[in-house]
Amino acid sequence: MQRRDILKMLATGAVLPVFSSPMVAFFREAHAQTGAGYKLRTLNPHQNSTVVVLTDLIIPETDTPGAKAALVNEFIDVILTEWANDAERQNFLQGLAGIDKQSQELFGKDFVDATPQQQVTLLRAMDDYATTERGEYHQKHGNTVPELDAYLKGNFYDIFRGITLHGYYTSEIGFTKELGLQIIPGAQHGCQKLGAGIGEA
Amino acid sequence: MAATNTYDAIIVGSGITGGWAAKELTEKGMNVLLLEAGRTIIPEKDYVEHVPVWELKYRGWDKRAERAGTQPIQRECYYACDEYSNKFFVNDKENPYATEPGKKFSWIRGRQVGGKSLTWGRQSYRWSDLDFEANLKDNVAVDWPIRYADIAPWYDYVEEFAGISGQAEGLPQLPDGKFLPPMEMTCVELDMRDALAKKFDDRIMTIGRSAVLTRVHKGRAACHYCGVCHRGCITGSYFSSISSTLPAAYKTGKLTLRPYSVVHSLTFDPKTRKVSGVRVIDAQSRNAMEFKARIFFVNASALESTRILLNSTSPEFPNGLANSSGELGHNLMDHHMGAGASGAMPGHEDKMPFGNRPNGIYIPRFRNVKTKQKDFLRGYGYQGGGSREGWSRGMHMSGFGADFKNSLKKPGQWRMGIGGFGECLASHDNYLEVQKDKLDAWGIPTIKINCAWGDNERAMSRDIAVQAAEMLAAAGARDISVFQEMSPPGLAIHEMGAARMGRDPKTSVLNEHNQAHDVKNLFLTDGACMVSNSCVNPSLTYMALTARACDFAVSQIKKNEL
Repeated sequence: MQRRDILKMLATGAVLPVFSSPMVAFFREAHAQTGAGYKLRTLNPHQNSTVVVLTDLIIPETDTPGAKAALVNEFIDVILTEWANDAERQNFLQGLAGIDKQSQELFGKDFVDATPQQQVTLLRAMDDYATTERGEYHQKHGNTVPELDAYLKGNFYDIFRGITLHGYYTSEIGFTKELGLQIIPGAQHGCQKLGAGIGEA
Repeated sequence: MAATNTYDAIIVGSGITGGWAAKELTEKGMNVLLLEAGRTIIPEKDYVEHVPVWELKYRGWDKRAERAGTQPIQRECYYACDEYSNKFFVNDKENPYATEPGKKFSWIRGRQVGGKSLTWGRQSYRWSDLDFEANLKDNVAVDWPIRYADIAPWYDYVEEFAGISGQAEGLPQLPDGKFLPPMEMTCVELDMRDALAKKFDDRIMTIGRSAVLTRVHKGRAACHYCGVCHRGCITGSYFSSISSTLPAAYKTGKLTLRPYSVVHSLTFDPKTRKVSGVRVIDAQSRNAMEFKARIFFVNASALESTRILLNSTSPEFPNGLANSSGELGHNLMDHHMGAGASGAMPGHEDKMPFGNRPNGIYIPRFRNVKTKQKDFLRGYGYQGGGSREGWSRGMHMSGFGADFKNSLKKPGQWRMGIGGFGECLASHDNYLEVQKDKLDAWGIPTIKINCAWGDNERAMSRDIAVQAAEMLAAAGARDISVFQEMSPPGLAIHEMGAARMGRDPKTSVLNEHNQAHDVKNLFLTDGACMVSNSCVNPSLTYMALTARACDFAVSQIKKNEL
C-alpha cells in the first residue's frame, strides 16, 4: 500500500486495523537500534551470557517469547554504554560480578554454569532480600516527574529487574505480542469488559 | 508577483494566536506576512506520534545527559518534552533568560512554525463573568474592559472552526460551548462523578473539553487515540496552527509565511504615531531586514511579545513601545499547580478502558462561586483521570518468572488522581524586563523575570490539596496520598498578563479591542493581553480575542480609521 493511500485512509476518518510492521515502516526511517548486527560494547561475552540468563529468568518464554528473544541484553548494553554515567556503569557491572560471587559461594560455579534450579534459588533469595529492603511502596501522585537518575541506583536486583522489565515491555515482542497493544487503537471507550484486545492480548 | 517588503498586515508569531490572526486577516482580504522566528514544520517528516517505542534508542529514557545540557528547563515539562518531542521545545542554552535570585520561573516554549500549538494540552474552556468581573469586585489590579457578552459570539466562532469535544453541564461559572461528542469517562471516573453528585451540592466532574476531534470536522479526520498528540498528528485531529488555521490562510492565496525570522523590534513613526515597520534578523544568515505594513499583530507568545515591545524603544517610548502607562512587563501571572491527591479505587476488576484517550476529566471551579471563602479569593479547577496500572507496577512488586510475567499481562489496580490549576492574583511586582547587556544569539536583549506566588496562591494551594483528598475519599478511594508542593511560576505554561488590556491608558497597555492605547495600528492578542488569570486553561480565550480583534482591525481599516 502506498503511503499516500494510507494518508488518504487516515484523512477520511476510516477506522484503521492494527498497523502491521510493514505499514509502520512507511512513517519512519527504519534503522534498528538493536537486533541483527548489534555489537556489544560494554558487556563482555561472560557478562552478556549472565545478563541473558538473568533477563530470561525474570521474563521467560511463556505463550509469548521472553526477554532473551526480545534482545533485552542489547538494550541493557546500550544503556550501560551511552546512558549510564561512570559510577552507574561500575555499580551495575560490580552487581553482576556479585551474582557470580554468590553463585560460587553457594554452588561452586558461576551463575551461567549453575543448574536452572540453582539459578532460581539464588534469584529467589535476591528477590526476597530486595522485597524486605524496598519496604512498602507508596504510590506517588499522578503527575510525577520520572526520576531518571534513580533508574540505575540502589539495590542491584531492583535495578536489574527494572531495566529488564522496561527493555522487555518496550520491545516489539513485549508491546505487540505479550501485551497486545496497538499504536493506533482507532477508538476510545472508558469502561469495557476485559476480553480479546481489551486488557487481554 | 514582484518581491515586496510591504504588506497590508504583519503578524509576529505563528503559534495558536498568530495562526488565527493569519487566517482571519487573509480571509478578510489582506495580504499578510507571518513572521516566525523558528523553522518550518513538515508533518510527514517531523511528526513522530506513530514511531514505536522500540525504534527509540533509549526506549523513552531519553538522552539524559544531553537533555540536561541543552534543555534543563524545557525538560521540566516532562509529559510533553520527551525523547520523541523535545525537538518542539527550545534549546535553553541558545535561548537564555534570567530570573531574580530565589524566584524560579520555568519558561517553557517552542520556536517553530506552530509554536506551542503543536505541544499544548488542548484543554479548551470558556471564561464567564465570574472571571471578567473579578478584578472589579475584588478591587485587584484593573477591571477587564470587556464582559462575557462581548466575547461569547467569538467563543462560538472559534469553537465552530476548531472543533471542541465536550459535555454541556449548564454551569454558570463554566459556560458550555458548541461541542462535538464528548470522550468517554473510565469506570472509576464515572464512580467519582456519581459520588460528587451525590455527596456534594456544589461541585461536579465532567469530561475534559478538548480541542481533539471526536468526529470528522471540516475535512479533518477524527482522532484515532494513539494518545501522544504532543509528538505530532498526521491526521490533523487536534487543533494547531499546522492542522487548522494556517491551511485556511494558505487557501486564500494571501499568506506569506517567513520562518527563520527573528523580530528585533518594531519601528515607531512619530509623525504618523503608528508602527511603520518591523526589524527582522534572519535566523540563519544573521542579515537584518525591515518589513512594512499598515497594521501589526504581535503574537509571539506572552513573554516574547512583551520582550519585543520592551525592546522597541524610541524617544517617544523610552521604556518600550506603547508603554506610556509603565505597565508593560508588569502584572505577570501564571496558574499554580502542585496540589492534589491520588488513590486506589475499588471495583471494576473485570473492566478496562480501551484506546489512549488524549484527555482527562475536569472538576470545574466551586470555590468563591456561590459562597465566599474566608482564606482566599478566586478559585481553581482540577484535571486528572482514572486508569489501571500497567506492567510498570512490576517494578515495585516481588517476583520473577512465568507467573510474574503472566500477572503483569493483566491490568493492575484502578487508580484515580486529580491535580488543581489555581488562579493567581495580578500584582505589579511580578514582572519581566529586558537586559540590554545580555544578548541572545541574534543580538537581541534577553529578559529577566521577577515573579513569585503570593499569600492568596499559597492559601488556595492548601485548599486544593485538602479538597482533592476529601473528594477521593468520598468516591471510595483507598491509600490516598496527598501532595501539596507548589510548582514554580511558568511551569503551568499559562504565563500571561505583561501587556494588559484595560479601560484607562494610564494603567493598561491595550484597549478593549486588544489595540495599543498609544499606537493605533498595533494589536496584541496572545497571553500578554490578559488582565486577570481565571483558573481555566486560557488558549480558547486567546483564540476568541484574536478573532475579535482581527474583525475590529479590519472594520477600522474599512472606515479608514487605520
